[in-house]
Amino acid sequence: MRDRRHHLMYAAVVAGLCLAVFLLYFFPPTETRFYPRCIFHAVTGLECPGCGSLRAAHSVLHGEFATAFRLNPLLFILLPLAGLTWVVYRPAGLSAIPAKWIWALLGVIIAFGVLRNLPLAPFSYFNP
Amino acid sequence: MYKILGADQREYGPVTADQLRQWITEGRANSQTMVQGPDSTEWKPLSSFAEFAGVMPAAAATAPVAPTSYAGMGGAQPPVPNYLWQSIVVTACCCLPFGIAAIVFAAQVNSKLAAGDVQGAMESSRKAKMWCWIAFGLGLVSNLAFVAMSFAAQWFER
Repeated sequence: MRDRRHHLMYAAVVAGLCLAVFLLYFFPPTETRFYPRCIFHAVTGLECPGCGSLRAAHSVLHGEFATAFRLNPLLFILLPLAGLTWVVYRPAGLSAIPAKWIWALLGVIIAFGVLRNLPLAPFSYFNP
Repeated sequence: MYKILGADQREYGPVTADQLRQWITEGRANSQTMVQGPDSTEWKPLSSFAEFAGVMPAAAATAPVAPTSYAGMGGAQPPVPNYLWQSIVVTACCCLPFGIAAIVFAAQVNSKLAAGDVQGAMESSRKAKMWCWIAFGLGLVSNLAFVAMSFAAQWFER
């Protein structure tokens, strides 16, 4: 029963990813309205640490890696780390990750969010 | 194969009888723990399974439901989910401030578990889950509002 639920969940995740890749490849986020919007950006006008992710994904799908990196460099650093963490901690469970790493992650996310909004080079380069 | 209900009210298993015996000796399961036996969908207290009577500690037989211990749980699922990946996803996609609150509680789950404070970890786990849902709900509602507004704007332009 539990196994079947897991399989269904994985199937749903894979289907969702395929749909997302399809949409992101053919419909650029800058020209379409149906993508989710960042409320933090809409309310404050500031770039949040996740802002630019959709545009970055669109760029990656079109092979424009430099543009993608400029749109959200944090994603490039954190995604491989997230994959590695998943592989290493899947057996023990994510609750076994040392807490200091999560605090460090939080620090990095917040620091990136602050820095990318500064009107100074090189930080302003990452304010898409 | 057996399934058990942990002190956190989540299902663990299916596991073999040997694994369940190990859980009993580790204090993860006791006589009061609800267990689903092989070929059965009925939940019964562990004390009603004769096959485990030998490994049941005498003192634990009368003890109330003991908190599951996190130490030495090799191979089994962790008893307290920290909602870490959900927190990160809602932070990036839905709502930054509440997502960050969720990550803070996720970190608390891990530090309390490492310190052996299972009760406190469960409390933080509940809060992490709550903030994930708040952030997700707010992200969903505001996005629906944005879509509605952009359609309305289009409508009035015509």
